[in-house]
Amino acid sequence: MKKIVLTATATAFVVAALLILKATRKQNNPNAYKIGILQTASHPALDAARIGFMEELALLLNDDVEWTIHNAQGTITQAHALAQQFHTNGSYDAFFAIATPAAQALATVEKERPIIIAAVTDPASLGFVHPNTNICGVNDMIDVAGQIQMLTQLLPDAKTIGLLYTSGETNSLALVEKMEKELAKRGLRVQHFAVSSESDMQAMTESACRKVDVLLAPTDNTVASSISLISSIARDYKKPFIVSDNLLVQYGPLAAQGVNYEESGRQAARIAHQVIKENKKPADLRIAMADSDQVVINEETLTLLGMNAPELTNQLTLVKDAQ
Amino acid sequence: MIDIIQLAQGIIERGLLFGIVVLSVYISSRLINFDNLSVEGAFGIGGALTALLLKYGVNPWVTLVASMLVGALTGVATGLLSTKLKLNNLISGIVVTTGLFSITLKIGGSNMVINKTKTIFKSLSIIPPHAQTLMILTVITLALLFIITWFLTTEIGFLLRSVGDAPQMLTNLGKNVDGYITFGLVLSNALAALSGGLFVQYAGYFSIWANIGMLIIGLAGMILAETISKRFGLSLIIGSIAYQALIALTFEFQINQDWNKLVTASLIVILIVIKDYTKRSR
Repeated sequence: MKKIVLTATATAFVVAALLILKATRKQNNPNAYKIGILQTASHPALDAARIGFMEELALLLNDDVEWTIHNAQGTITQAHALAQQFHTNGSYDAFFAIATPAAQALATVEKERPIIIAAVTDPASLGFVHPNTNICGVNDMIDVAGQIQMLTQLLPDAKTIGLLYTSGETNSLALVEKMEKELAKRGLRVQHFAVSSESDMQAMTESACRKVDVLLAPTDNTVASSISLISSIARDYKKPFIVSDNLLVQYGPLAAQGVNYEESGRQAARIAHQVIKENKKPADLRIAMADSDQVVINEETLTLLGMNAPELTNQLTLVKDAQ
Repeated sequence: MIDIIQLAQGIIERGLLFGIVVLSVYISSRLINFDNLSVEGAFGIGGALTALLLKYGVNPWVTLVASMLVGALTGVATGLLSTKLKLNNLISGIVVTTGLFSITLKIGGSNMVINKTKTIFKSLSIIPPHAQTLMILTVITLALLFIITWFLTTEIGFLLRSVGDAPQMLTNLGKNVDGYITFGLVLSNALAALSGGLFVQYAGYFSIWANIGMLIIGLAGMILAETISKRFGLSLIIGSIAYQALIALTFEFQINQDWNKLVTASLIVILIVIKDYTKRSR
């Protein structure tokens, strides 16, 4: 019993320490806007969204802003603990949630203050869109029809398309469904290559390269983390590999017509600015589509596949391999 | 500015919820001496089943019972792999968790929102909703604790406890040791699956990734609890709450978040060392 009391006291101390820490944290500018950022995991696209958001919002608010950045490191339970911690601190003016798990965790606990989201593919299916919502921002749903049209213009001889994605990622599944419809509409055959974790990626990519003419990936976190591996296998097999995240093209895929995550972060910042500065309601602002009409092509992969720069209707950017 | 009561409430709620996982880990690791890695898989499938049934309008309490049953099945699977096919304990658990990923995905998909449906945390209209969650979690966890504590004093419970310390005794009594090991795993995984189901109702959605890190939460809670008492009891729940408080503290310190997992790992090592040290000096 004595020990129970002891532990209870220790826990109370921890909580008290929390309180003191919070109170003594130095405040540079008491009037600055305070934004709590919850990022799902460390990975290039999400980092880019965060950096884009912070740069743009700092610019819009003349640096009159303070950040608290938390990263759930890919763990759902941790995302929840962090979201709850944000929720209990009344000094935040708004929150920025990057990717679905962070957005979902924040949305569950915070029902009043505005939550700006980015890198969430299908906000409606998560229940974020309703008349009293406190959630707005930018989704990363790409223009699938545009992307498939680019694919057919770039690779007119392709017959079978292999879709490479993770079976457990909601955002991927939403896109894969659309891609499949769009490909079928153009009479192209579709094969699915779904991995359940990063460790399966190499074997799955090799299998895909043997069976299809073109590899196509949605905005998928696992694909993003193993992008160099997939690209180098695709190059070995001389198979074009199309992705949905423009920033990934420098790691070796042939092309992308998708989201520029840094730009979507900036777009989210402009929405955040309307909310906290102009007092607009998140429910009126809705969730905007990220711009996705720019095509990015990797020159080195293009040469390797023996192709020439194509004539496309869209704005085209050529990139080289990242050093 | 910071609402300390709300913060503490969140810590206690998660501590109670994951306290059930701590009970689960304790039963397998300590009572039957089986390091059960299928706890994570059971947590996941329990959540998926609860989410699916809620979507079909099943009573939220019934979904939890269903989750426990499916969790019990995963315990049977782990037990049979280990006792009948003689797979290494760790391998049995890993294999079951790995296999369960696919089944869980088929049941719950990658993500399922159940925001609108009725949950057990919204079932009593007389109590204000924010107090309800804490109250219901407290009642469930303490009831489980009470039932299991009572159960361990019965004859079967006593024999279950001897599996870990004195398996020879069971053999001498003509009891089936394999059967008792499997029974322990059934209990352990049923609890983990129940916790998974509760988490879905608590969070308002199911995610295929939610079970990641459950083992470390269970282990850390148990290790913290053992600094109070080695026996099965309230200490396990207190350990779980203390661990959630420690996690909250590491967040508040706001060291570069990249170090988060290393901090957790170091914390566990330090606690084990302290625990062993206090034990020796006694």
